[in-house]
Amino acid sequence: MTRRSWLKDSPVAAVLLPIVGLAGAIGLWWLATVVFSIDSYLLPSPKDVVAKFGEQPSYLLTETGTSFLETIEGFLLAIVIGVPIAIVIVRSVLLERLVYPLLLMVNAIPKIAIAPLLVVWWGFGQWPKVFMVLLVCFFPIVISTAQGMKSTPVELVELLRSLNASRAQEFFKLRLRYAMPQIFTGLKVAISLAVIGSVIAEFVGATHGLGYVISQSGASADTSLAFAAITLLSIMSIVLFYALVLLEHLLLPWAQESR
Amino acid sequence: MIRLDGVGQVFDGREGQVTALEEIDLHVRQNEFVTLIGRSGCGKSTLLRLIAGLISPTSGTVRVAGEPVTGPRRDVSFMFQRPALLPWRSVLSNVMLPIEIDGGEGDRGRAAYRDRAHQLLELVGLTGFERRLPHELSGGMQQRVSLCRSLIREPQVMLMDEPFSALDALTRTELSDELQRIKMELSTTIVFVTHSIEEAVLLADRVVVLTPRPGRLREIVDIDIPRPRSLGQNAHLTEVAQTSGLLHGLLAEKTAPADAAPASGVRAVDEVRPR
Repeated sequence: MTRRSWLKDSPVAAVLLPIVGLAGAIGLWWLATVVFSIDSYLLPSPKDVVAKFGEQPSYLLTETGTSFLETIEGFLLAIVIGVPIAIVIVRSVLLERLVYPLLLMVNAIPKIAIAPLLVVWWGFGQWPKVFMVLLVCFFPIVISTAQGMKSTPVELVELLRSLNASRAQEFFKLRLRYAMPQIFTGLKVAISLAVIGSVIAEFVGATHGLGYVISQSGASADTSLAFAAITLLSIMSIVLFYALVLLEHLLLPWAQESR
Repeated sequence: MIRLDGVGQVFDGREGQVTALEEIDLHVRQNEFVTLIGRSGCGKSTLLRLIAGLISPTSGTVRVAGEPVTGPRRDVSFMFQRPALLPWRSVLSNVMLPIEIDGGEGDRGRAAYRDRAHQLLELVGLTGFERRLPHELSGGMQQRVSLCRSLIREPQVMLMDEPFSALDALTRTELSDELQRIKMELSTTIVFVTHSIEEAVLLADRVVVLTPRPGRLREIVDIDIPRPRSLGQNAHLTEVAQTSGLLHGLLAEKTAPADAAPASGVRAVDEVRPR
């Protein structure tokens, strides 16, 4: 086995190398703070960040939980609303003409611009955050679902017709199943946006959540705390993304190969 | 078994109407193997879809087993140029799809069909592949699965739209042989669209030649070469060559003669026409 194919094929390499890369990056960061003796309110060293987490783990975890719930709720809501809307749009030309430009307009609004309004309307509770997550997730989910629903190959539709399948059978046994890989593509885009959405909403008006922690620590120049919160946000984002990847792998084992 | 009377099909195209088929009279007998042959765009696939009930004719009537065709029938199966397998379903589950669509077969019925599916897969040499997904199979194997699927309902009529044309030459010959064998084992009426003269001569009892734009019946050629036929070593080389030559001649004609329309029943001409 040549060295190159070991790098490409070995599962050990696939897990080990990213860890080595990450460790290297953290090492450089550490080195920079030591060599240039940067003040910790400007750039805390990795040690400071970890220490910060050690000081108040239960506080940080509670806030992580809050952000996590908002993200998940908004994301699920976006699926529950977005997928049926996309399906209806694909089915009806009338509705597509009627609704689609409207969706494009809503999507064109920078979401952060609405965040203060959400506070005016609904105050500081969880709902405006969930709604913000819903807003940012909605569009990619609708677009990818609509694309997926349109991608059914003609010959498969004709096959089901020739078997005298009902419209419901055609929909559930063929069109929806065939759209799943593309729906998942949309979900993977949406889940990363979802985390951003919850942070935006927490920045503008909140009493809880990691976004709130970050904006508060900015005010008190507690940069290490902000870094700890950012790290937790990144971990949350990565975990959510790979949870989706895993789910896709389990649900759609055929998708990687045959498309 | 299948009877077409004065069937015509006009499509509304971008630049006005296009006549795909005109005045087609054709009678396919029970257990007969008929191939439809013609240049691309002569409406042979359209004709097949008319018989399948996937589209309805602009004029004339299509009857299967004495009844006018109003939609897809349970005893008529359709096989496509591409395997058209559902990529998330295993081989067995793909073969069982028509039964699943029917629904209401009861557990016993379904078990019986499952046995039949296994038998069919054995017939085409796919035993042991039941649980594989389509992308794990070669093109020829996929088309074999598709063949099993079209046989699962025990159809009286099988309509095949260039089913082997996307395969390599060797696999194609193999599958043609298998189809002949299956045809001899199971009694079904088959209408088979192709643009390959070889395939037409190898498989058919009768070859129906269509003229292009608008598609009309040019000639119906009887093929009396004894079965099983094969393309290689053959005791009937002269007859095969003669028939092939005749079909070549018919297909090479640029325009149809004026009297070509009511051609049903016209017998094969003896001499071999020049290319």
